[in-house]
Amino acid sequence: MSLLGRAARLAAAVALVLGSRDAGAARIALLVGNDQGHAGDPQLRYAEKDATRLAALLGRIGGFAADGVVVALGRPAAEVERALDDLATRLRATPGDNLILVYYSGHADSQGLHLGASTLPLADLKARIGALPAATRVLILDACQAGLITQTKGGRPGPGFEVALEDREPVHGIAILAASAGSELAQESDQLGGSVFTHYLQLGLSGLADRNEDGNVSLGEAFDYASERTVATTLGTATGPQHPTFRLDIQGRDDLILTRPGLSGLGYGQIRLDVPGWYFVRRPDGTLAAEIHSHGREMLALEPGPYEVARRDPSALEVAAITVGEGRATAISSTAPRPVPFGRMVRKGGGPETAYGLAIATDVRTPIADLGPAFGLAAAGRVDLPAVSIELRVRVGRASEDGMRLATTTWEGAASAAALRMRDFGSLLGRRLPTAGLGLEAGAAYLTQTLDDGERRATVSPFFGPTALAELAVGRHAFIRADLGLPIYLLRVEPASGGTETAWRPALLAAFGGGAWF
Amino acid sequence: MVLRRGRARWAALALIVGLSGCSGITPGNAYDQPMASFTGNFIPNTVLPSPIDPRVVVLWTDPLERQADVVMPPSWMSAPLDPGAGDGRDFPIQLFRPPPPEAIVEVPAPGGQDAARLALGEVIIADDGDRDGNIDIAGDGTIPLTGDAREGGPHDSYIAGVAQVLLYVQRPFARAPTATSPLATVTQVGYQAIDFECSSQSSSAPVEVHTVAFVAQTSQAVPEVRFCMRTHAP
Repeated sequence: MSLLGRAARLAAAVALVLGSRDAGAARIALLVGNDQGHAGDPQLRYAEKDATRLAALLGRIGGFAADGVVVALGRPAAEVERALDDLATRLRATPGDNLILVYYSGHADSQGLHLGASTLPLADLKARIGALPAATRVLILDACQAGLITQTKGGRPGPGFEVALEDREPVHGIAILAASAGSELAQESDQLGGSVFTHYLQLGLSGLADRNEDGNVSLGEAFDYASERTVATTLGTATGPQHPTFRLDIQGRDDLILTRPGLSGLGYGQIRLDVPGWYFVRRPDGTLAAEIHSHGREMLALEPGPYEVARRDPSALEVAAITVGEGRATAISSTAPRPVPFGRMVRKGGGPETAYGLAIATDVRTPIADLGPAFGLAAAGRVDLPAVSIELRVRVGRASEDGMRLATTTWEGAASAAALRMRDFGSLLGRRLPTAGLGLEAGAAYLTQTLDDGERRATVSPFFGPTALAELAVGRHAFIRADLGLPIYLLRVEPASGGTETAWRPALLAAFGGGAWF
Repeated sequence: MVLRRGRARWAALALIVGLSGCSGITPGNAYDQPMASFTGNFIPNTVLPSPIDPRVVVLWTDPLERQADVVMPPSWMSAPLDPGAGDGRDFPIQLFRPPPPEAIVEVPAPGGQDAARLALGEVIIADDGDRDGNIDIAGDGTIPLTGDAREGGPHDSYIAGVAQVLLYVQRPFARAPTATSPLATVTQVGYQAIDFECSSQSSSAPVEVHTVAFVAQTSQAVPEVRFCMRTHAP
């Protein structure tokens, strides 16, 4: 359906909303997302997804009728302008304290919004928004340099603001929220699966911004939460901190309530975070739906569907699979989370910064210098750090070769250190997947050889090489593991001709064992 | 920084000590190729006494008679011998390993100020009459009769020897002895087959040869016929 077609349906929706609810409280939203900018603008990945998600959220818990939300994805400036004009026309025929919310996610500069190859001038946008015949107009811009539109008349960076006053009079006016200040860049995050500001704005509207715990999220609460989280999240990025800004020209003495996550209703469900801790809520595609620190009272409104909820405190990390049901609230305390092993916990961050483990294994190594395959026992102590795991290994092995001309037995004791980069693969169909690691190992082996004539030889052989590790947790503390290594030995040998020679001798080593984290 | 440098120094020192203080190890295939190859044959008109299972054996002897003879393990050498070959047929003799460690002795130079580590060996043919896969030769050079052999049953026996001496030098003399010394060729590491005339306590200059010629001499005791050096060759 075309944008204009949707706008036409919107008019009918407005009438329906006004008729079926409060004639003075119709809520209409236009959400514009455009991943494409002008030539030279980098391709965005989440602008259109931001608009889609926010539209769904407003429909679920914002009081916006399903047909009262128009989403324009990848449309040029002319179409967006026509949509705004059409909204204005329709709203003029609908008197009352209407709320119009316009959201944009995409590229922009000081001149205007980059809607593909076209530009919607900021001045034109402001004029059109200002001319909309609604009692309250909210403009949210998640775009680079969006702060310029709030700077023109007294815009200032967060923290947030309070609209709520004691008297309950309807609000009127215009509020502009911008994701960045001045010439700052607005940032996207692959980890969050969206623009940073919009991600936290959605979280705030989902209930996390409900400071006064009245079950409603006001414009001020939402901006306050989104602003604080955006600055905190972008502090450590290469681009630098991103400071959301706002311009407020609101009169009246009522809360400008944007969402009501405290109400149970159709189209969304709730998770009650009734166990204190840090929560990470992920969608099935792995993107982060929420990152929350709960004191045991917080509540999160989400669209129905499956989620992975990870809760961590300083000593434990637990993950639960939760299906949010429409109109239902699920308490974390009623779920059966599974513990996450310590090593994974360290790598996920937010918990302890180190984990310690011990492992033992049996191993077999291909022959070096034709001394026969070596069978041995190995032990390892490991320290898991967020970025790397360090493992100290000791090994005792025995190789024997009974050739036509020579029979030998060689004992080997080795000590080495390995640095591994571990990767956790999560779980699939409720079953935990292994953790894999790849790294380098270096050490030295002491080899003592007994020949069939009773002669003894001994040498110290440094070695190094790549090493790989696969580990499968069994419960929270135990794991089984398999190792594969390609050690290259610097070996001193005595050839038949006499003297000694030094040569590099590669080998393949495989080990299997188990261990525990502490 | 000082600590790091100190640790690195210790690690390097440990590595150097480890590498220099130890010998190397012997690769499993170190002796797959022969260390020495000679040709064996029989002197003309040799008639072997119908051997059952003749084998070429190297018997290592201490030239100063300080210790018992040592038999070279059969798997350390190869000498495919055709019992019906008779005169004029050459066969290879290959040695894949140095003599057993207990066969290597230290021999002082004539002047006494130098010493070499070497082994002297006799190449003989013995018959594995009892077919046990081994030629049992006692340290005194006799082939003991055991079991059924005591009752006249089949037994191992010595059937032929060579006039040349097998020499293995592990560590040569620092200064070469006089040319007429039997030890004149103890100047390089490895195997040699040498031939020299020996009369009483003097000898001619040793000559390295590549062929050893067997002469039949059946005996239950390995003969000792040399005058200037106690060996078992005829």
